[in-house]
Amino acid sequence: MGQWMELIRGTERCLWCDMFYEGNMGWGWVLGFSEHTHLCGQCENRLQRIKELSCLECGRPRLHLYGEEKVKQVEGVSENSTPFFQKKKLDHDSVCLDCERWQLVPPWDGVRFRHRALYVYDGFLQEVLARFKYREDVALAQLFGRDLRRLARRELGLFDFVVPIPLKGEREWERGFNQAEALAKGFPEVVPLLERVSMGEQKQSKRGREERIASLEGAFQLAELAGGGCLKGKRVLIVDDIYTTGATIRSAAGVLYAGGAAEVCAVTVARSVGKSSAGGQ
Amino acid sequence: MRFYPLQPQDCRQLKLLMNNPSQHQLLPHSLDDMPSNTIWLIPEKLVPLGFSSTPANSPFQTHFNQPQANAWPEIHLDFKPGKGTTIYCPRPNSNHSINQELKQYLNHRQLLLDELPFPLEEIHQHACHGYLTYEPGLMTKNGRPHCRRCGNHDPNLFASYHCYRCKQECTYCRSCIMMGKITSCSPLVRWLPNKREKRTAASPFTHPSQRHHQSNSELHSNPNHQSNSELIPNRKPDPKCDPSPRHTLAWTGTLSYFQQKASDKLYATINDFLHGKNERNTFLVWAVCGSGKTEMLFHGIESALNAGLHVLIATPRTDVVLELEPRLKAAFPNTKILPLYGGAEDRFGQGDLVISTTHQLLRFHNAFDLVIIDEVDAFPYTADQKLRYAVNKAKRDRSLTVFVTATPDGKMKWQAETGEILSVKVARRYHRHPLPVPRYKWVGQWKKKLAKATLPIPIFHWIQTHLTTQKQIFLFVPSVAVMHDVADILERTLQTTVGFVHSSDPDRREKVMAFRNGKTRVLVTTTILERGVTVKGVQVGVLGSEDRIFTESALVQISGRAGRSPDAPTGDVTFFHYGKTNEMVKAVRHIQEMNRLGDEELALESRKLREHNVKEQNNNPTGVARNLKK
Ligand SMILES: [Zn+2]
Ligand SMILES: [Zn+2]
Ligand SMILES: [Zn+2]
Ligand SMILES: [Zn+2]
Repeated sequence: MGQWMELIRGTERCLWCDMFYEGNMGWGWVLGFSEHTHLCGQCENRLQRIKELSCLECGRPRLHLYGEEKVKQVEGVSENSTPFFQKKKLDHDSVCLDCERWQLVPPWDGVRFRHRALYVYDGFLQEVLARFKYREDVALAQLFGRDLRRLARRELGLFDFVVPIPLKGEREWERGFNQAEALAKGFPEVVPLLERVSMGEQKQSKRGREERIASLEGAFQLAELAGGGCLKGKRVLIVDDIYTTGATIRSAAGVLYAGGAAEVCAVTVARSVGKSSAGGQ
Repeated sequence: MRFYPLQPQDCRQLKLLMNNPSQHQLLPHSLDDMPSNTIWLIPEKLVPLGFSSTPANSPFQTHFNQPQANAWPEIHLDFKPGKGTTIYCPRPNSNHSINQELKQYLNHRQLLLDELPFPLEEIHQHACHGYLTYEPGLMTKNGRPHCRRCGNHDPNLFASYHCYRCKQECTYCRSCIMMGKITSCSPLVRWLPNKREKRTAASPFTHPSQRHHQSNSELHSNPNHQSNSELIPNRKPDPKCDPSPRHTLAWTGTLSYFQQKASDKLYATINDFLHGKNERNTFLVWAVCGSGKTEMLFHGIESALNAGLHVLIATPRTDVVLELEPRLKAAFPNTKILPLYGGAEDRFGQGDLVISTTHQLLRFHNAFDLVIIDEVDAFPYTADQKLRYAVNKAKRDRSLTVFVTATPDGKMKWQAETGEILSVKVARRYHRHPLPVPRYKWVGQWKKKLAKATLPIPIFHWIQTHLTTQKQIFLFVPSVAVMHDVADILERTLQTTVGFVHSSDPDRREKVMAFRNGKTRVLVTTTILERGVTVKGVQVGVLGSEDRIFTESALVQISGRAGRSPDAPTGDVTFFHYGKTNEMVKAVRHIQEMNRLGDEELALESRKLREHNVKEQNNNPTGVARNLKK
C-alpha cells in the first residue's frame, strides 16, 4: 500500500512559497474529486475560507468565527478541513446594518444587490493580494479564478455577462494589467461593459467610507459595447479583488442597473471584516 | 515598455528632421561613430504622438510606424564582430551636465526604470549623451526565458500575461518579483563608466585609489578595446593619497589559535590580491559551527577597506544581516556600513562595507572587489544558486571571493583539496572542545507509529532521560505536518512545556525566545534557528534522519547546535532513523574528521608552545623560576 500511496501523490509546486509538495494526499483522489491545486497544504491552511454568513446580501461572514483571535489561531494549526462550502442556512433573511442603510438610497431601495467573497481579508491574504496587485504577480490569479467561478455558480446562479471592475487608464499602464480582469479570466462570459470616468482621484484605500462613496458617484460609465439595450433583462456579475465597504462595486452595479440589467451580483476574493464596515461612523 | 529600435541610417535621417531644440532629445548626441551593427533605442512613451500619425510619405512614418515598436528587439549582449546587433552607446558628451543624483542611484547598480525616481525624459537624455544604457531584463536562451537580474531559468518560475505596457503576451520572472517586476519588455538601466571622469570627493564609494574599469557595452561598441587582462588596477595602498588609514578596527577581543590561523591566512590572501600576486580568486574558510566566524574576518576586512576596496558581505538570510550590522558597526566605527535587506531604509544608498541579502544584491553590477559569502547555518538551503548568481554579477571582473561555511559542497571541497582554490580549515570551536559526534538509533517505521498518534519508545526514553537531568531538547523533524503531530503527542505525554516552530512561522521570534530563556523545554522544529542562538546544554535529536531533506550539510548544521556553550561544551546528538542513509554516514564522518584535524592541530600547538617554552628557559634561566611558580 505504501507504494501506491506514493504513486498517487503528484509533486506540485506551490505558487506562493515555491516549495515542491505532494499534492492530493487525501482520499479525494480515490473518490474522483481531487484536482490540480496551486498551494501547498501549509499555505492553503493560512487562507480563511468564508463558510458561514451573517448577511445574505453583502456576504458578510459571521464575525465571531473570524475575529482577530481566530486569525491568529488559524496560522500553523492545521484545521480539519470542512467540506467545501458547508454553509449553514440562516433562519431568516438576515441583512446587516450596512445593507439596511444602503437600502434607503436609490437605486438600492428598488433593486437587490448580492455579493459573495471567497476568503476573509486577513494578514496573509493581504500579503498575497499585495503581491498580486502591486508586485504585479499575475500568475497568482490562478489561485482564485476557478473558485470564484464556483462560488458565483453555487451562491448566485448563472449569469449572462461577467464584468471585471476596470482600472483607470494611467493606472493600467503603471500596473501593466488589471487585477479584476485577470481574476475573471476563467469566466467564459467576460465582457468589458464598464469604463472608468477619468477624474482626479486619489488612491482609494486610504479614505473614509462617506468620502469614498461621494467620490465614487459617477466613477463608472457603460462602455460603447453596452449600448443598444443589450443589458435589458440580463443577469450581470461583477468581479473584483477586495470588497471593503462595497462602495466601488455598488457604484459599478448602479451603472449596470441603469443600463437595464435585471440583476447585478458580485464576487470577490477577499471580504474585509475590519472596523471599516458596520456602523461606519 | 516598448522601444523603437533605429538603425544608424534611420538615426541619421531622423536627425536631419529634428532640429527643433524644444523637442526632447531622442537621438544620440553623436552619430559619427555609430557602427552599422548597432541600434539605438527610443522609449515609446517619449515619441511625440504627432510622429506616428504624420503624413504617409514623411520619414517619421517610416521610422516610427514601419519598424513597429518592439518589446525588445533581438539584441546580442555578448558582442561578436560581424554577428548580430547590439545597443549603441555613444561616447560620453563632456559638455552635457549630468544629474549627480541619478548617477548616485545607478552607481554600480542595474535598476529598473520604475526604481528610478526621475522623469523618463531625463533618463533618456543621459542615454543620448552616453552616460547610461538600456539593457533587456529578460532574455531568451534556447527558447527558454532567462532572467538577467536573478539568473532564474526555471520555466516554472516564469509566467505570462497580456501586458498593457507592450500590448502583447509578456513573460515575467516570478523568482525576483519582490524586487520589482522584470518582464520581457522591461529594460534595466546601467550607468556607463567613464574613464576620463575623475572620481570626486563626493563620489559615493570614495577612495583615493583610482581604478579604471571597462564596461561590457563599451567593449561592444568599440570592439578593438584592450582586453580585461590589461586592466588590472594598481591598488597598492599609496601613502601619498592615504596618509592615515580611514578605517580603524575597534574590536579588541582575542582570537583562538584556530581563528588566528584563518585570520592570518585571509589577511595574507587579501594582501596578495592587492599586489596582484594571487593566482586564485576564491578563498574558502571551512569553519566548524560555533568557531566564531565573524571575528576571523575583521582583520582582513580592515586591510581591504584601507586599501580602498569595496567590500561586500553576502548572505541568504535577512536575520544574518540584522545580526551582523551592529557587530560590524561596533568593530568599524569610522566606516560607512550599508545593510541591505527587504524593508531596509536606504536601499539605494552607498557604503564602504555593504552587508546584503541575496535579493538586494541582485541590484548591483560590477561593484565589489572583496566579496565575503556567509553561508553559515542556512537550512533548508535552497538559495545556493541564486546567491552565487547574484554574487557573480555584483563582483568586479577582478575580485576576490571568500566563502565562509561549515559545510562546503562537494565541488568546493574537491577544489580545496586539489588546491584549485585557496582554503583554510577551522576544525575546532572557540571553546576548543570537539564537536559532539552523532549516534545512530534505529526506530523502525516511525511514520506508522505517528499515524497511530504515538512515537517509537527509544525517542520517549531519550527525551525523558535528558529532561530528568534538566536538559533542553531540540527535536528536528522532516516536515511541518510531522512537526504538528509530534508536538501534539509530546504535549500529551510529557510533563513539560513543548513548543514547535517552522521557518515561516509568524511567531518564530517569540517561540525561539521562549526556548532560549528556558520556558519551553522541548522544541520540535523543521528549521535551524537564528544564527548564533546558543542554548546552554541543549540536546539534539533528528527524527526520520533518513528523509531526503536531511543532507550531509543539513545534518552537520543540525549537529552543530549542540555543545556550543563553553559552559556545556558536550552534548548528545542522535539520529533516529528507519534505515541509515549515505548522507547520515557522511555527516558523521565529516564531524569525526573535523575533530581529528582539531586534535592534530592542538597537538601541534602544544608542541610549539613547549618548544617555545624550552627555548625561553634556555635563554632566560629566571624565566624558569617564573614558569615553575605558576
Ligand atoms: Zn506553499
Ligand atoms: Zn450586508
Ligand atoms: Zn528574476
Ligand atoms: Zn510587456
